[in-house]
Amino acid sequence: MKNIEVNMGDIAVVKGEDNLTASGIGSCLVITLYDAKQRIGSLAHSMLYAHRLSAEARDLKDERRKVNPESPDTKYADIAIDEMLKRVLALGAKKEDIVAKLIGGANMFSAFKSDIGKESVESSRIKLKKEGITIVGECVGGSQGRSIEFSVATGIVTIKTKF
Amino acid sequence: MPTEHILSKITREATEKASLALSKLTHQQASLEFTKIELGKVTTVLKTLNPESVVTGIYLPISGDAKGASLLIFPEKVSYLLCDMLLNKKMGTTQKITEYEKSALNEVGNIILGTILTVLSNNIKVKMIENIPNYCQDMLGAVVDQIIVEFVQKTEDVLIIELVFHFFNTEVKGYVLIIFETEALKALIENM
Repeated sequence: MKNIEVNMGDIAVVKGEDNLTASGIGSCLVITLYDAKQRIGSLAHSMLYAHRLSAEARDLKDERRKVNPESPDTKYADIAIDEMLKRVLALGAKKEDIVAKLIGGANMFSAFKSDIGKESVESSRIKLKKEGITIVGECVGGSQGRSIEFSVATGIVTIKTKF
Repeated sequence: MPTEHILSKITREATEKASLALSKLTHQQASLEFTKIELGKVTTVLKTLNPESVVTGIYLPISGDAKGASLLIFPEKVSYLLCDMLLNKKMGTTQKITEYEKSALNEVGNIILGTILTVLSNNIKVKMIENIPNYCQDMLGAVVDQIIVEFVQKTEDVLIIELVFHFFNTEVKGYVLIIFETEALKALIENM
């Protein structure tokens, strides 16, 4: 069994015994998908939700945001969720058996007028509902950092904070 | 002038000014040295460090002709030592950060970040205005990621400055990150 660290903007998919981890999460949102029957799990360490782009940024980044089948931009939660679903289904997961958990989306510095973490949480809830995926657990918001360990063997997500 | 020379020049100037300012603030018990400065990418910044290590982060928004963010990061234990010095307590007294200590640490952030931004502004001839500092103490990854997330849509470049705090016979490393809303920073430095 090994620990696979998922860095900012990345996703990972595993079948079997390994753990998926994401360390020191602030406003980023970690999304996990899990099929308990097949023991297939995926973790996304997303940074933004698509609609967060202003029109200007959308134009500037349009080239970068184009969903490239070879390397989708999974720092956006909506693209990450699509890619996670594609990969877990390809490994043998059944969509009706997949459940999700959301962790993170904190606001570490109150100086920021926008609350990107909260927006990412709300938008991901909508996206997952649209996909027919039930969210079975959330540990989101607040102003604390979190570290996450997702055991694909058991489906348990363990969360550590500073205290 | 090659980018490395400009960055070295900025490092030397910032060290001299910030060290003097910090010495005055702490009654000469502490000084500062900027040891390394480089341009990096936001998604890989500080990758070699432990994201779960507990740090203090002082965030200073930047406005003016170059809008962006500056973030000072140093280990939790440095916070307590600085508070002892700034608040005239016996070394080792501070064990908890209240609003009083946060205010003192914000002032340290203001001075260090303000000095770097002034030196940077003077060298690249771009007006930068510092705003109110904001304190946070948590895991390194969490402290850094909100700053990155706010700006990653607009730029991928970040200026990373490594610094060393000198207290008596102790040396402790810290970092400063500076991000601007556009990719102008790199272009400005290269065109100096």
